[in-house]
Amino acid sequence: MLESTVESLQDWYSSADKRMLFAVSLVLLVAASGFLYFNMQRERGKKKAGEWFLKGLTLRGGNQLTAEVPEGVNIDARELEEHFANEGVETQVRQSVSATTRRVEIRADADTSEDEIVDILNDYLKNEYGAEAEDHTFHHVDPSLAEGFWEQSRLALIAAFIFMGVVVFFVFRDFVPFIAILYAVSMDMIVVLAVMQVLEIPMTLASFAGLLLVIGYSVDSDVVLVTRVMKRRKGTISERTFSAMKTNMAMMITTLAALVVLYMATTAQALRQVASVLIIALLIDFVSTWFGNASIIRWWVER
Amino acid sequence: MKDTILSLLDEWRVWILIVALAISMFALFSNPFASGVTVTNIEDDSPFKGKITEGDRITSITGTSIDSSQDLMDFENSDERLNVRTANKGLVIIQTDGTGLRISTEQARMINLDLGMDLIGGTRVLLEPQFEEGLNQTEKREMMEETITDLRTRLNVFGLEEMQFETLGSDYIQIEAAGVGRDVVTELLERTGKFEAYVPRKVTFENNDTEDFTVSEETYTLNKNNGSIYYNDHLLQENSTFNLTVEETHLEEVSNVNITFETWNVTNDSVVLAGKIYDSEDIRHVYKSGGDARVRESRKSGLYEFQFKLLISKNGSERFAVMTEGHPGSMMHLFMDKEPITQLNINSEEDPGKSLIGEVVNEPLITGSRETREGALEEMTRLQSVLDSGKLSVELKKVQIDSISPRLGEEMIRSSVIAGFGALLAVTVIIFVIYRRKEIIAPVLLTSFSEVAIILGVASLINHTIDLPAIAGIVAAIGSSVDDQIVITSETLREREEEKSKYSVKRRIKRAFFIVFTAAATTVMAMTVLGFVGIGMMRGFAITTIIGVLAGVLITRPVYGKILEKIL
Repeated sequence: MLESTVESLQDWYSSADKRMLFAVSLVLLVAASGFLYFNMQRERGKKKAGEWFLKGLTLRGGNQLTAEVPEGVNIDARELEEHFANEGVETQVRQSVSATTRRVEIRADADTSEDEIVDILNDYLKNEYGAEAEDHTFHHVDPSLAEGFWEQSRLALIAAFIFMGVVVFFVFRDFVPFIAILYAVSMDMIVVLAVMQVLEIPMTLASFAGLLLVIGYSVDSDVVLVTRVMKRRKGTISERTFSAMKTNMAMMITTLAALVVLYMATTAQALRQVASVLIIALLIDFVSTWFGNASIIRWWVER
Repeated sequence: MKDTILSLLDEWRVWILIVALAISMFALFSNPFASGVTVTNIEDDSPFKGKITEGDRITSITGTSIDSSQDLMDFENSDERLNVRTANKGLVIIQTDGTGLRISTEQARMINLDLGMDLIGGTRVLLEPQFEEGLNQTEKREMMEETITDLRTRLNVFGLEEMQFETLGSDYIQIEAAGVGRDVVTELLERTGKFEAYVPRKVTFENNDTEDFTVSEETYTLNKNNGSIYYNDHLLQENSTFNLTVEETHLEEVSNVNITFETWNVTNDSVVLAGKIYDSEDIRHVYKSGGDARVRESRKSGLYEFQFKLLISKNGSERFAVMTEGHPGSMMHLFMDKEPITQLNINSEEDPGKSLIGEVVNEPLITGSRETREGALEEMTRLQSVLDSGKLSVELKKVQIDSISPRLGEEMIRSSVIAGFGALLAVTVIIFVIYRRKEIIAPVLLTSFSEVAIILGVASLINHTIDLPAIAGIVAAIGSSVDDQIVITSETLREREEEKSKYSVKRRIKRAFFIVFTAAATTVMAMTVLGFVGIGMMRGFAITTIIGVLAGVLITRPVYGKILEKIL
């Protein structure tokens, strides 16, 4: 079954129009850029300028308390938020349930205190369930510090991108592969950022680390493609492209499997964020490499 | 099969892997049969001082094996010569005197790896000093160092648990307290000890029911009635207080000095009246440098004497003069939060032998001595900090707090380990499904496990703490490792399908490594950048990824290529 699927995929891919394949990637890139741009414009009109990007605790600042609640306590997030609001504390509440634990995650502004949040929560739990939070973890990030991290992250992303460009140019010393790889990597970045907004995955230092890794993974698949097509002599160009694609699919599937297991097994927010950014990136990288980059390279080699 | 393995031993790359694994294992398990306790702290007056150092491991004492701090307690009150066997210094003879061992220890660890506070629980606070404007870098750095010294001293003075201080760049101070309650750090920063200085005066009744005591020019009378002592109608109980206003003093232009007395050691016929002369409010400045604070060796006693100056408020100076007048030999008793700290003579700066009893001293000299220079210096710093502890050299703003309960941390470790093994299993199964070759399962597992071992080994060697980001980095490194293994596998396998010359295999593997190296270079660069973001908070991620990628491309993945060459 696997073989026949692969074969029909090969037939379709070899016969498909390069321009059409490229157009698919371009449409995705333009749609993602447009989405981010309009998001930015829309939010710019509002009071909190520059908040156009969904940021997590480490890049936005604030307080976050994660409390473990006893079994049998099933919190209504809206109700708890309301309870906090009545006490004069603006919060966002999320509940997460894993096999072994039941947790409630409360986010509040940086000027609240740990004790205040715990007290209000316990007050609520006592009234509603006659229980108290069993254990909790607290994080506080000053908004000015978070602002600094955000600045640094943006600079770091640009620096990493430039370094990547230098490595790629140094390795291929050819303009077209360089542009093709640059196209694919930027597309990965932009579309991942847009998908993160849609799926409401916040940007944190952890998801940022994931994003930087995307550059490495992205280049990996691009280099597989470019070397196979350009350095091999055997087979037609579309056969070579497809053999590279098969290798890359194997890479993608194994890495995806590892990341999905990681995402499901871990209870650590940071690991989940890294994993989800990479999962999205791998899926998008498939399109950017085999629809975008591959079309440019095939056109260039065949011309 | 056997031949294949033997032929692999001819490869120098395989030997590099074996050596790297051996070093990693040695670094991680250098102490496989960990016994004994590791010494974490030795107090100055401990009988162990100078004989062993912190970090040494004690395995047995006089034939009894020591496996926990509890075992050590059996020797706490010993008053004899102890034959202490240590792991690194051999036999050390310690003469104890029955007053306690005064060392702290922790159980020796089997795996030599530091786990981050986000995995074992604890509190981490990032502090941003609020410098005044116009300070240059050197001044800022000095103030930072001074602040850390102040914090360390507070830690000792207040008897708080062990914490680590670290400066991050020139802008931040990080305090990390593993496994410590979250309030402790706050206490460290916000607790300002209440300092008080008293000059006590003993009043003994000599067969009368009344007894006089004088303060400067004024005389006051105490009465005894039914075994209790009264001042006016005020019953003097242990630690009760009363106020006096000394209207006439021996000093010109000084009158109406208010003094609060505390009564100590009340018995049937005596009482100690302690006049409070200073409290925290009265300390204007604590001199810490130059000639105003120094340690020197005394030729007379052979001890090391320290002395430093204080600047005291006018009221405080007057109370001192009034309380000590006519009472040579008065001592000043210092208290911190009602706990006695030290008793001091107050002497002239120009002539340390000359007493300043009865004079207005607004810059009293605090002196003391210890047997060693270090001891004297330490005591001086401690006192200075206590006296100055009302404030730190620079205000600190808490810009980031992470407090993690040990239970949640433990769960993070467990779930990460499960995730790691699960991911590896998933990868192995999928590689098997794709290539349908059971021969490659062993090399895939070998490569991945070797990389994890090398990453942890290097982390152990460079004392890098494994925290949550570091674990994410290990996963990322394994992810890219598996990608590379697939590139190598498919290049090698296609060879079999197409042409069969040995030369060609080499060429293909070379091509595979071209891909592997390019991707590795990109990743290493991106991760180097990441190391500097967020004052290095993702450094753990960056470092483990870089170690993993480098170990992969230089050591394990070439071996994987070699193995495939032989078995496919």
